[in-house]
Amino acid sequence: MRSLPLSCSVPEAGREVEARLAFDVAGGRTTLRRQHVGYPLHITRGFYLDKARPDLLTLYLQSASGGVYADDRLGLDVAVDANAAVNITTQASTVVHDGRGTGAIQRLTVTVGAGAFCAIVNDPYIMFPGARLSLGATASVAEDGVLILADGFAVHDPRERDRAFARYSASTRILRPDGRLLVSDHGSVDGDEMAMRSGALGGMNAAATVFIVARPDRLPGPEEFENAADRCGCLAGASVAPNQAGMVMRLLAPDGGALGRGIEAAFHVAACSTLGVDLARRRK
Amino acid sequence: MMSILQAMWQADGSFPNGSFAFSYGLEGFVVLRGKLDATDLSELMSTIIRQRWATFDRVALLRAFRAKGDPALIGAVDREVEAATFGEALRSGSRRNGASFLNAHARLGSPIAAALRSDIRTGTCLGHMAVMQGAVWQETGLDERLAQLASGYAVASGLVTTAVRLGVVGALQGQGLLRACLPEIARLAAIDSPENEELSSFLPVLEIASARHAKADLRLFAN
Repeated sequence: MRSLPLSCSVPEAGREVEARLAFDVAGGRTTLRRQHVGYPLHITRGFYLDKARPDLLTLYLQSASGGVYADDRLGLDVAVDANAAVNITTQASTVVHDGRGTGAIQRLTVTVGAGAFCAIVNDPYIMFPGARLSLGATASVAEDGVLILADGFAVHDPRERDRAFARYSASTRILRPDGRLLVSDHGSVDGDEMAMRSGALGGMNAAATVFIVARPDRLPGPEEFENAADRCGCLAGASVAPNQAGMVMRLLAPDGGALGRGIEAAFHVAACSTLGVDLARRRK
Repeated sequence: MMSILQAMWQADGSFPNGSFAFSYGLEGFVVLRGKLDATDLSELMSTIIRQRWATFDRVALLRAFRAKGDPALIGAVDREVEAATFGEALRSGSRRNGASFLNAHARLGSPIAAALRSDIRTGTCLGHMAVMQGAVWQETGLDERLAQLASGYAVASGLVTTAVRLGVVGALQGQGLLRACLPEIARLAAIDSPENEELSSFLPVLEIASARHAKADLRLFAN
């Protein structure tokens, strides 16, 4: 007779989660009107951190499971009603574990209403050997809404066995509420590419993209945007986004720490320019 | 046989298509790095071919080719290229090259090139290079395979010309690097591109180099 394997030794199937967050304005400040967040995702209570913008709600999104695993299918829908102001960020980087051939998918849908401000700023994903992650974001932004979106990744090989991650893919589509396409940014890189000194990342180990969707008069200068990230040890390049959507910046860094600091600095420049006030440091 | 000769004619660097001013960010990369050697250039060319040309320019070219002259379909691909191209310098360079390419063909008597120039004036099209190549080459008797090979060769040969003009490699060394790219172009051109395949590109280092270089006071190339 053959024993069944212990339950703890059976590889778990990936988790399928659809989380939803909806924000609006009540009593002069932004509130989380509806939330549906299941394991492994977790959100903290809301914080009002900014004296200059006391209505702006900040939430930390966390993974309660120690990272992203093979076969995970994680979805997050964020709806920011007219005139609401919200910043969703992470408390730390998220580890992406070996994808075992199939990998993980994270999907984000954002709706930003008229006069609203929404900043979704993630610390870099940490791509472990064999990790395969596909990020997909679709955002609808009203003409006078503001969206700041930042995502990136860094390589980490904890056992230093020269095993690369499998693949990192990111796809972002930004539209107007009438369906007009503003920005479509789709790209992938295999871990093997990282070894090249003059490959896609120019020999660096971490990369990110920051989008600002806002009216031209609310954008920072591209050099100011770049310099903020450069001062953190990144190499950044900013440009006007397609279709006068705003501004877009790529960042490269030697490691996840420098990239995380560069993303944070870029967020503060973007927030100051679009809101007209300096925001407080987000403690992590 | 005639279609092969047409493809060679279109891939030839002497055809006036404006690509002499287009460096794919290579000039900015040279400035960032300070010095490049032949190994760097070889890696960079291979990366551009795989991470940009095969998955973006080639896909846009094939979609425009398959539009068979339909201005609405060509315009839709063109707008997608605009939305998917990082950086104003790369977008404006691609549109400028496309306009030069159309001008040359229109002056040589191509009806579709003349029609596309008119579509750019009315705003139906934007005139991105890969899209214009696909639309015009479909009318000039190239098949999909030859159109892809002409496009891939033109990109690789343009990079070598740029590198030689920037003094990164000598003329003969550049030809060696170009020859080394040919099997990769042939392999990638043989990969089927399904209808409505998404345009995909991942070259952050060149996009950064191009964005920073666009603000420089002194530069040889438009991007």
